[in-house]
Amino acid sequence: MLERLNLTDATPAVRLDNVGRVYRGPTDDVVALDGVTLDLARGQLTAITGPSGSGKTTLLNIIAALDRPSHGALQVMGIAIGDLSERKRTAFRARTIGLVFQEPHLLPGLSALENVVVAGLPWHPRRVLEPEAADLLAAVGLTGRVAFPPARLSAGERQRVAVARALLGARPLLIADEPTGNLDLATTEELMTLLTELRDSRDLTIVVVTHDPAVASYADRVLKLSGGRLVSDQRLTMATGVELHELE
Amino acid sequence: MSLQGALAALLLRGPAHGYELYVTLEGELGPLWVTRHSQVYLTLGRMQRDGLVRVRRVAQVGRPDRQVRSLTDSGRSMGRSWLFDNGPAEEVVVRLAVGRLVIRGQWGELVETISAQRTATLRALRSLQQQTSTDGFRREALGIEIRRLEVELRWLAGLLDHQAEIVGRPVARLAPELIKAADA
Repeated sequence: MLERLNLTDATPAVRLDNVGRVYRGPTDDVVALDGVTLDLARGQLTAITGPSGSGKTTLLNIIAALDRPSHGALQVMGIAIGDLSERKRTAFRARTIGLVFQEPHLLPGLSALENVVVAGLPWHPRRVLEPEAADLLAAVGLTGRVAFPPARLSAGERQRVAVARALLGARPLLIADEPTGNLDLATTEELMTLLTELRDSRDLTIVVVTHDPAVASYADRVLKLSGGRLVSDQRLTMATGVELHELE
Repeated sequence: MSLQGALAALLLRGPAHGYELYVTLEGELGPLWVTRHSQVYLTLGRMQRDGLVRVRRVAQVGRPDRQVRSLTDSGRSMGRSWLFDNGPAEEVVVRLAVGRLVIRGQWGELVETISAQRTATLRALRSLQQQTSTDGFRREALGIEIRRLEVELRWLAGLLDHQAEIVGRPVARLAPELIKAADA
């Protein structure tokens, strides 16, 4: 049976309590994540930053239920996913968490619409999925592109299809690993603006791993990791009275 | 640009005479941020009048007395505020250059602080861009400022990556031809 989401207003999207991940090596153990404790509020965009090897992707994989912590407690949308069997975790992930990567990984022989639909096929029939997929493609600004195969879409449009695919089934948590890594400046700006619009219109919780401070600047909160530890937790503000140049 | 703020921050290192301060600024930043020799003395005079610096005269053989400036309590407070408080965009580079010399141990903190300030401005500009009508040239004007700030944030992140090397560099020496020009 599927785990039922048990959300109150105060339930964070993600709760980590002293979560660590140690990779056992032949001679030495590698501590990839070292006692991270934090809550991520629902409906917020959080950026995770830090140098290579700081534990960003490990943390993301754990939040996305792709990996299990070596120790500590983890809740996603109120569910203690560490306690779930592998089968239940897979079902939970499919229903709750959308994933976007640097590469959109679209199937070349399928249209944009079919690429979105395919994400829900094991669980729902195509006729149920197609209207939702069309709505999602409209929500990411691709109304006129639903029948296009990936080869006829720009890099930014392919990544928008990946976002639509990740949201199929009204998944409340979107996790993106360097989603703008292959995009130019203008397209990066468009994608991040889209993500903030989706956060607001769908009350979506978004977690983005990025090395780019310009991408992180779209977030409500920026977490910085170093050596597997959380070293900074910054809630971003907005300047008031911006006036950059004075005409004299 | 607030030369007064930069001079107050430079004096956080300890007492110095005007020429030393001028040479340090020119050596670290010239030729992009040019300071006039006379302007440094004029500004130090105003700072003395306003109670930000005090002067001690040091006798020299065969030459006029050298005036060594040091900060008063309000001058020290001003120097620190100039480094860490939000300021105009064009002062960012000078704040970082001076900060490298006077607060080496806290330079990373200064970069992070400036980064947070510039991020707040960037977010405000993005919000303005969304609210701005398509009339006139406003959208384009905001667009270029947003791009500049994004580039600046990436540059600031790069500085943090090379922090130890940047802070470890010695104080720049002014090129001899610039010293001659200053003395002229």
